[in-house]
Amino acid sequence: MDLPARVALLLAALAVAAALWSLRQRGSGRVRAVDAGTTLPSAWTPRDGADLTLVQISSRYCSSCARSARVWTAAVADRPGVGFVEVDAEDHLDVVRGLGVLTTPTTLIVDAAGALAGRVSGAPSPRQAAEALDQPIGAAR
Amino acid sequence: MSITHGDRAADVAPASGGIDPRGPRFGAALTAVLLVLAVVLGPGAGTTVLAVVVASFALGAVHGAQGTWQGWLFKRLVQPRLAPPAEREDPRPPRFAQAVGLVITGAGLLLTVLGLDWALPVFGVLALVAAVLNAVAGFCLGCEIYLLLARFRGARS
Repeated sequence: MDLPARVALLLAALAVAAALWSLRQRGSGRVRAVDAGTTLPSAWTPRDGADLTLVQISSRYCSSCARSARVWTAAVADRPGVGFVEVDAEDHLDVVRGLGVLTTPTTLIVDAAGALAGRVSGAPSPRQAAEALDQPIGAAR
Repeated sequence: MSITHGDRAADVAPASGGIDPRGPRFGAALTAVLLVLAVVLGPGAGTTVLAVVVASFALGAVHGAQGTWQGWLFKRLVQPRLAPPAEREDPRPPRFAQAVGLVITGAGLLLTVLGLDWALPVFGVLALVAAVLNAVAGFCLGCEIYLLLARFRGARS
């Protein structure tokens, strides 16, 4: 591979990475609709009569899971009826594969009946977290 | 309302203290510069530069990103000029990413030394993409790979 080819490879790879990155960022932190038929582990379903439970799937080597958990924790603090649980992806690999979770943090929004109401990939901003919580509760009522 | 730590993820939370998250990103920027140099110089002089990158990743895989020469430069030259970080970070994810960087650049170095000249630009560019995403966006590509490996491992068992 001569110099022009090496430089072309370098620039092409950076361009592809930038394109994939911007696609990923567009969806990050936003609620996506999900297939409602998915069965979740019983431990993840709402407890104490919660209207909504957030289940954040984290992993051992995850640079934004801690920040994500802090944002969700702050967001649920002033919302009675919303709970937050953080679980390790490696303990639930069947669910992770079943839902096609490819990145951590991925946060599942579980409704009062224990059904999946939505999912959020990546760490949300505080504003995105508030939107995610207000939207499904409002729709349910 | 209720905040529960389901299981092992609880000890995923940063240990007391943690590192300045800007340190690994600064280090990744230096690594990116070296990788551009290695790819542009090509087999020969570029191989030597790639060897320096491999050695740096080896340090990072053992001591964490803060234990590399880039981490030392950050602590000595950059951090004193910055405001304290808004939040600190668990050092384990960046350290794991250093190990992933070691595997990728190490494979590239090995194949280059064995005479496969295409290996230097291909593996160098691969590592460069990861370093640039880390430096510019704080994105940890090595960390993403961990979950994918865990999924694969689980699928076989």
